[in-house]
Amino acid sequence: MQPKVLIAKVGLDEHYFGALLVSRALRDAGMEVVLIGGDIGPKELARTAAQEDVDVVGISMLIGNYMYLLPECIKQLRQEGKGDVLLVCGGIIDETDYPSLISQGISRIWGPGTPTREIVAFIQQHFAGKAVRKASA
Amino acid sequence: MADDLSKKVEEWNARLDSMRQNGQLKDEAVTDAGIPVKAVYTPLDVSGLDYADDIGLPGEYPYVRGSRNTGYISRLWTMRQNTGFGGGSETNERLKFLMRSGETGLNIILDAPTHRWVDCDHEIATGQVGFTGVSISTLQDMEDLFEDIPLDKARVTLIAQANAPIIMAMYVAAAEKRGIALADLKGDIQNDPLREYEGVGCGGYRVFPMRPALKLALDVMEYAIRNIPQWTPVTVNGHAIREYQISPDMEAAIVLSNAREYLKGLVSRGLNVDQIAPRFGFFMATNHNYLFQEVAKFRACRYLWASMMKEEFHASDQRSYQLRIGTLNIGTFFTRQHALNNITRITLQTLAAVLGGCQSIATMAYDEALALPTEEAQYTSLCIQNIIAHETGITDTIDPMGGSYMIESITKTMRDKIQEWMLKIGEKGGVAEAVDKGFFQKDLVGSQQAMKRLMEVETGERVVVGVNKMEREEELARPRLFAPNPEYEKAQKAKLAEFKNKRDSQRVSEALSGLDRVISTDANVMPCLIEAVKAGATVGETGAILGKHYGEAKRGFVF
Repeated sequence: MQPKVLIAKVGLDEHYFGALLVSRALRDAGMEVVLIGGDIGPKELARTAAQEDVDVVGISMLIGNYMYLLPECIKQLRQEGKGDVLLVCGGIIDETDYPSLISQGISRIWGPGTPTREIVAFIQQHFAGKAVRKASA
Repeated sequence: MADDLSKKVEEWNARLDSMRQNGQLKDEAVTDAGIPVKAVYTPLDVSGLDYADDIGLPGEYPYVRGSRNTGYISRLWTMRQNTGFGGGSETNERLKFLMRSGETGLNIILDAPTHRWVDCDHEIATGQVGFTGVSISTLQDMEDLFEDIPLDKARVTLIAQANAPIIMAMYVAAAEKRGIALADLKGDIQNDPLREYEGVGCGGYRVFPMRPALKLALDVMEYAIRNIPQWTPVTVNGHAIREYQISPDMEAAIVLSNAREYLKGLVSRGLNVDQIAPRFGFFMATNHNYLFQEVAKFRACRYLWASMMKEEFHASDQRSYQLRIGTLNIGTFFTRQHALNNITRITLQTLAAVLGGCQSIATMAYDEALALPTEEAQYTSLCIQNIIAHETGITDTIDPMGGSYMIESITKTMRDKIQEWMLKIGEKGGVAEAVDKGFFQKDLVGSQQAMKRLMEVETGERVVVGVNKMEREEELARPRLFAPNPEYEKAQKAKLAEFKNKRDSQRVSEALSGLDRVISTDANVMPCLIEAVKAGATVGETGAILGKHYGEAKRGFVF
């Protein structure tokens, strides 16, 4: 099953380079990708994830207090009934904060320089063997 | 003699070609600008050039060898570090550290909410206040930022784009409050909104749609030209777009084309080219991938600017011809892996800028891919600049690479390629029209080039040390990271509330009404904006008034 993916650059900044490349790589691998950014906070992220009925949410986090913003994103996703999406994250995050973020619900975090094939493989493996897309809650 | 040489070179190349055919030698390299990199360059490669017409002497038309005739011998480039976090006081402390460490220009980085022209207490600012730049919501914040820093002596770069009008207004108000004459202010504000619409968000910030943004930018430029004689009110920005992996010739073409657009806009406001052109600066990337190509890019830019001044704008003042180029490292080439390698990359990129004769060099710090820079990392970058300046002897000669068969040949090729791109942009009717037609977004700054390079790195075709060569499972050295304080937001909000309590609300309200009225006319918004700031209006309050008239920028992603 090819999942539908929302790539969201959370925050007011306009640095889309990483999010753009990951979106391209996922689309080239056959996934349907929606890319948003520029005006996206945790609420907008969750609302779009629900509206687009995605299976995966990938957050590009380059700005801000991610120890506040990422848990807030998780909370909002749950409130919109999308708490079961595969939640992954990339950007500028101190590796020493990974364990805390993962324990709060992020499945995987990647830093700059991660080969896109690794990201593609992780997502594809997660959905391998799943025959149909789950209907939204 | 020439025939003799021609024959010898032909034979020499034939030998290499046959080695290539036998698989004994790799193919000739080609740069990202599509320029073949020859195995050897000879006088034949420059035989078509005329020294006077194509190269010249430093400080003389066509200025290829340098804008000023004494180059670095009389004055080194300005040394800068991008800086900003927390509130004005936190950044002020770091600025003072950097000034003690040899920085000669202050580069101010603003946080995302400030860039977006909202106050620190706006809902959309949550979690982002003071985290990737300094938070400026009030005149007090601006004053805190520059406490004990002499604004009549310091060379300040305000890295403000869409919000340039309010930041300029606050800077002017802060200076006037201290009794500093506008005539003594030296520095620049980036104020280049056009490139922000040319790509999928090029690290700048969109607030209003393109045409209002253009009008506001011209307002800042016009106001400064008429009132702040030593101020550079625009540094046309190629750096941000270049980070999307476009080639240097494209970068230069976009910068020159955008500059032309602003020049024409100001001429149509009744200013003379010689009032305008000396006040322009360029802000470009510097790269170490194809180091010599980068040097050629800077030289080609000076030629094309001088040529534009002469042929198109008929400038009479020499200062109109003397292009000033500022640079910043291309950060997307830095690595998270073995971050110490970025010290080497910064060094080589700075070298390219120095060999290219740039007037201002801002260096990133080696921990760029990991976090905001520490003091140690910024100090190290300033040392890099000073080592190049004082330990190499390079600065005792102007344009030391000039005359090299390779550099002159590539400079000429770069000139031609840049002009080709400029013609293509011109065919669309000009920059704004090209943006409307999606020319940049799809053909230039779409993801094609970036994807191509990414795949080259991921297949190993393009080497990035630490990532696909000499990579390690575990890091050998992990730098200490700078962590902005999560309490900044609370502190800034408290300062904002206190500021609002102390001010005269009636006066603010009247000033904002005045602003509202002025915006409905075509008048320059700056005088009114400055008055509003002096009355106590905040960044967000002025942004809201402008937003009411201009609406919001749209974002669309092409990938």
